[in-house]
Parts: sequence; structure tokens; C-alpha cells
Amino acid sequence: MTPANSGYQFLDHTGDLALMVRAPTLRELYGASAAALFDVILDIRTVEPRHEVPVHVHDAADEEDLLVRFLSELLFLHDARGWVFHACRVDELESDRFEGVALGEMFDPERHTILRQVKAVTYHHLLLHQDREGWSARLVLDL
Amino acid sequence: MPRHGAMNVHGIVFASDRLMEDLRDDPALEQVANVACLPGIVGASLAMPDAHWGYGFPIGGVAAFDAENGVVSPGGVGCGINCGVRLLRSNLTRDDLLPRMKDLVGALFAALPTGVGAHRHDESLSEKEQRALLTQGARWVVERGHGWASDLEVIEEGGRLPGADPDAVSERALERGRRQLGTVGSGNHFVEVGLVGEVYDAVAAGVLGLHAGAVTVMIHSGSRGFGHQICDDAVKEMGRVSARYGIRLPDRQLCCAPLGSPEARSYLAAQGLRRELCLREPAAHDPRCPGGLRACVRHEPERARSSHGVRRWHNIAKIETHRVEGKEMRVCVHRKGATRAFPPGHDEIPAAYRRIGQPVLIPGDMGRYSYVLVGAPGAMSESFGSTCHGAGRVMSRSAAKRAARGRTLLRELEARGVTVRSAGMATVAEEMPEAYKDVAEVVDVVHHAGLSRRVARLVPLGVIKG
Repeated sequence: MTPANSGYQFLDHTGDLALMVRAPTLRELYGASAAALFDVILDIRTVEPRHEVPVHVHDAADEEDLLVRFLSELLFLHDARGWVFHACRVDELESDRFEGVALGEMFDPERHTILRQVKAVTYHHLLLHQDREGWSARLVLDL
Repeated sequence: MPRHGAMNVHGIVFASDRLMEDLRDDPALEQVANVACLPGIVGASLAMPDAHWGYGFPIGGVAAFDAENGVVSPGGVGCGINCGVRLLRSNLTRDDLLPRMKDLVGALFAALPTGVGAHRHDESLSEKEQRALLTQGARWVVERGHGWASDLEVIEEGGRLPGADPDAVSERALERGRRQLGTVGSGNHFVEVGLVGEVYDAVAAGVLGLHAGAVTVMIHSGSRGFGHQICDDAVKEMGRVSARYGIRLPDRQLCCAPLGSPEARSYLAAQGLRRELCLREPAAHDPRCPGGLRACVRHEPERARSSHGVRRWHNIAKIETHRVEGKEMRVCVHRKGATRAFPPGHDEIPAAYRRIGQPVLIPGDMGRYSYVLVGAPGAMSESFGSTCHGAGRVMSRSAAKRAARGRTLLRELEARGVTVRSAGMATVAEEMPEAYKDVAEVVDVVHHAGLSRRVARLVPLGVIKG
């Protein structure tokens, strides 16, 4: 789930959209990043956690790659299958493997207004960083 | 930009002094240098005058890699694979349109699925149909009544691409694209009804069926989920193998593989298919466009029929022959937000346009104007047969939203004579005219640099944004 002291902010990027996501732990950073991605796509306050959709990512090259692959998986579930999410639950997290569920529901045009289309989560300027305050990720989305 | 650090070649930015001012602190210049570091790059790493910060390559970036020892980079094409512009000319006149502009824009908005999450229920394909479509080429659309047989004669390579292979595409790409055929896309994608405002080259304009006052329809359709997933699959695959091939990357998004490798062959085959598919998408729009236009001349429906027009792509990697340092060689040209602009007489231009040069469509922002150009000889000597692709953003999306706060953009555009309908208000703010460079200035640069020549200027009357 997204903890209260997690969040994200937009960074300036001329062509696409860059985000800085922060959370106290790496596990929580996954939830905060999922929430940030979907808050770019729609107002996630309108998304209810009606379903748990399993998400597995294996064989990532490193922790940065794992985060991008995880977000790309959510984007695929959204764009191809119509899911919208607002959080995730992490069951297992290793440097090359994610097991968990995304929490959300099917897109409902009566209740959800899509704001933007995200084509991809890119590796450009990608940064995953830990400091005394917790974890942060810089993500550039292809719009 | 002189060669420095790990750059294999120097960088060249085509720009006026004023456009250079906008670029001076833009990371696009660093990206030009990054591209110059990739193995097998020949000539120079180039940026067109509409260049701005992208991810991996700059938007407006052009680079050619030796087919023998160079690479292909899916990040050098981006996720908007073969995203492009199509121009149709209608037989209607300004007087037919003006009194009914609002109704027409409303009708087109209703008929064309735009924006995010846009799906066409009438065009949803089964996997079997989707594979048949990929195998049969543009003919598939014509046979289903979504285009004219004459379309096939003016599409590059007759709508069939050598090497495009349906098996090179993942199930995921097929699934992501299945319900999006015939949709326009979101963000900077649009359908624009306008007029030819000015003609600079009457002969070339005549060949393209354009004359001052003619009504035009311009469609910028996105790559959609199919292209996005092909890119995503390839970036992840090449990210995994770049190190194995001993390639050091200045930016992870520039991951790539040697042109002869299985990964490169698979990507080029899948990318070609995306182009195959998009040969159909605009054709699938066509019956709807005249359908909307028909409402303007109910008593003379034949006049609403449009010419087949011109279709151009601007995100692509393609094997071509170019002269580098006096020698002819096969190279893989990456155009990321750039358009191929071969000069008159080039045998890869459709026969109908060969004597005027390859037609190029340069959309501007939604409030000002767009251009039709043709390729010129300078493109072959200076830019691997390439020119610009649009106005180029100058403001980030958040800066545009800040600038739009408290303004009624739709009314401002209406006052300029442009009726706009959009799937989302966020799009109108992010795509406001000031968010873009003045496309006239961009076109001036490519015209004077000899990369392409001005043919006509189009002015918008009605715009449907994604």
C-alpha cells in the first residue's frame, strides 16, 4: 500500500514527463511508484481496490531494471486489459525478482476520466537511490 | 559540436540563432553527444531544428550506423514506432465548411475514437484476423472497404515491407494493439481540418493536388499499444544483451545490438510490421473523415470524397544506401522525430511524386499553421535524407499547464478562427500553441539548409485532439 509519508513530484522535462518518487523503504517505493504512474494516467482517488491482480517479474538485470519492469507490467495490464490501479502489495522482493499484487479495478468510463496516455516507462535518467530519509526513484515516462 | 570524450563522430545541430537559444540549456545537446558514442555511427550525430529533450535519442535526432559493424537501438526510434502524419485534400471549399465548422468538428470527434483508452468496437480483431492483417499488407484495409485501391499506389513500397515478420511480434504486443486499430491516439495526436493558406511552389503543390484555398484534412496518428509494446519488448531485450556484445552505454535507454545479431533482426522485423499496420490505420480513418465532411454538402455527396493524399512516418529505423565520406554504403538510419526527405529523382520515392521530391508533412501547433515540403538534394549530403518532423516542444507539459492556468484556451483559439474539441482538457493545456516552437522558423532552417523545400502552408480551422 502507499504509506502516508510517500509521494512523488513532477520534474521538468520538455518532451515527456519525469517524476521523483519517495518512500521510507524499497518495498513502499514500489507502491508509491505504482500510485505515481497511475496518478499521471488518471485521478487515482477515483480507483477502488476491488481486485488484486497478481504481478510477477523475474530475471531483472538489477534493482533499477526490476522497478522499470514492474511498472511496465502494470502499464501493460492497463493498456491491453483495461485495469486501473492505485497501489500494490509486495509479497517478495529480491534484486532481480518481484512477487506481489496490484490493487485496483477495471476501467469504468462512468467513474474514471483518463487524463494522459503513458506509452512506456523508460530507462532514461533512471535513478534508484537510498539515503537517510529512505528511498527515491527518478523515472522518465514516455508520453 | 566537436567530438569529445567517448564520441565516435561529431554532432551537428541544424538551427537558427533564435532556435539555438532555446536549445542551449536543453539536455537534447547532451543526447546528441550520447548518440555519437554508439558503435558504428557514421558521418555525424544530427539534430533537426525542432529538436528537444527526448529519452535516449533527442527528439529530432538522426543517426546512421554502418550496416556491417553498426547497431540498431530501439530507444533511437522510441515507442512511437512509425507514428506519422497523413494529409488528405477534400474537394470542398472554405464556404462549404465555415458555416458548419462546429458541427463538423463535433461529428468528427464523435466518429473518430481519440484520446487515451480509445477503442473501436467495430474494428476489434481476433488474433487470427490480426495476423492475417499483418501478413496481407495495406490491401487488407482496402478489401474491407476502409480505403481506396489507389491508396496502394502512393504508399511507400506499395504497402509491403521486405523483412517484416508477424512471428517477430510478441503475443503481448498483439494483445495490446488488438482493440486500438483505427484510433488516433492521445497527447500530440490529432485530426485537423484546414485550408491551404499559401502556395510557395505551384508545380509541386499541383502534383500533390494542393492549391490555395483547398480544404485539407491532416491526421497525426499515434503508434498505439502495438508499437509501444514492440519498443518496450525490444528495449528490455537489448538492455539485457548490450553488455554481452561489449557495448558501453552512455544512457541505458540507448541499449542496442549489432545489426547482424538475432536481437537486431527480430526488432527490425517487428518494427517493420508496426509500419505495415499503420499503413492501414489512417486508411481506416478515411471513410469517417469524408463522412463528417459529407455533412457539409449533403446535396452533393461526391464532393466530400477526399484525395488519397500523402502519408509520412517520423519514428523509424531503416536500412538505406547513403554516400559517406565519398563512399556509398549501407547504413541503418534512425529517425527519432525526423522525416525521410529524399530529393527529386530518387528511386525510393513513389513514382507519382518522384519528379518533385519526397513529400514531407510538418504539423505546427494547433493555433498557427502547418507546412507541406518536398525533399531536396541537401538532405542526401547533409542529413542522411532527413528533415524535421514538426514544431518541437519548447515548454514542458507542467510549464504549459501553469501558463494555461486561469485562461480559456478554447475561446482564445476560437477567436483565432480555430474550433477545437479534445478528449481531455489536460491535453488542450499541455498542447497549447505557446508550448511549441514557431514551426515557420523550424521550416525556414531546413529550407535554407537545403534539406527540403517549402511547397505550401496550411492553416487550421478545426482540430480534434486526442
